[in-house]
Amino acid sequence: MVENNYTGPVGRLNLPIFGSFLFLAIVLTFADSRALLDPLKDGLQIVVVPAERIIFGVRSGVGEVYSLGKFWKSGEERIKNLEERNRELASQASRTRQLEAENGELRGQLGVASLPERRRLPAAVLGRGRYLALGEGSRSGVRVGQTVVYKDSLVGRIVDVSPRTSFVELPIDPGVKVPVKLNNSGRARGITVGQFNSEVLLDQVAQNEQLDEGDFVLTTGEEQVYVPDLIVGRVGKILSAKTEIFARAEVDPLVHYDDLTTVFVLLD
Amino acid sequence: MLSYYALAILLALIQSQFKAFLLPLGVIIFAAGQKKDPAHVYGLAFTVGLLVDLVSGRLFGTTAIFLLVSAALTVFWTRDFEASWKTLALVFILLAIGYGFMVTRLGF
Repeated sequence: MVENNYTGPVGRLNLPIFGSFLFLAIVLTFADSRALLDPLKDGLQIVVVPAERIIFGVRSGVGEVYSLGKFWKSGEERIKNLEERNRELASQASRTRQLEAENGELRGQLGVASLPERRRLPAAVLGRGRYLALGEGSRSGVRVGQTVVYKDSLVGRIVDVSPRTSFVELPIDPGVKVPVKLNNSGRARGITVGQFNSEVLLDQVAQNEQLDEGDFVLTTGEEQVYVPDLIVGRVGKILSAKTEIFARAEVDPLVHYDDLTTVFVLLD
Repeated sequence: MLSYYALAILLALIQSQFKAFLLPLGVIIFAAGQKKDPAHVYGLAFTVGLLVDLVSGRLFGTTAIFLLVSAALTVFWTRDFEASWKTLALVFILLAIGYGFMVTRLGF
């Protein structure tokens, strides 16, 4: 049933009330831009963050049920693929252990220290808009600019922090550039650029460098924006012709950003 | 109005999971189109806007400004007739385009 509370042309818009709310909203925006509202936001987030966690849990649960349904639909073929993949991974793990041992010996011989260990703060994912929302904020030591990882893979960089939440800019965000290197036999370097269709493009790789599908793409740590040697993804389809100045390729991230439930913030 | 508040608050919390900021906007346009008391509609827009800002990390108040203006425009446009769902959908689409412009051009 439609309630009609309008009394006349002037009363219809109720401009004084509108103006009051608008003025208040503008004042709040200004105050927040000066970081004056952190105590207020902190208080509100005591209620909001648990609610977001519950909603994220429900959403993840629904997603898992859906995945399970899909799994049963194509079960047998999927199991075969997984068994094959498992064998490949076992082989790779063996090779990795061998390489780690060699690496350790070489570092010892060259007197190069291992990468400094940073404290990893586990943070629950609260949701994903343009940025990935995390349930840890400045109260836990999270600061703007810190790198966020999942295992050894780059998840992104903290771009906004409130007392109990923080927001991560992902490499797939349009315009985000990450200086990278390839872990192949050459010394190829380039940058990854986020695209509007949630993909990542590898660009600025010199044509004389080797670039093959499947190569791992790692952060260089240049400009101290990201921690070095984190996996951004693997080289996918090569897009450029040999005649172009720079080589370009798609990058397939190893992390499925929509499936993340917990990530780690590398604290200073 | 309580049911509108409940629905809009729920959608404001859900939207952060699905990149669907415009869900709460739909409720506000619907409330305005149903000719609810404009003061209540503005209150709804203000409250829900702040909540959206809180969960999405935007500057506190920016979404509230956008939703307040959206509510006022809807009230103004539909003041002389009973708005059908098609009319409200049109308002929603126009405001969504406006929002897209703000995001891409003005960095909102």
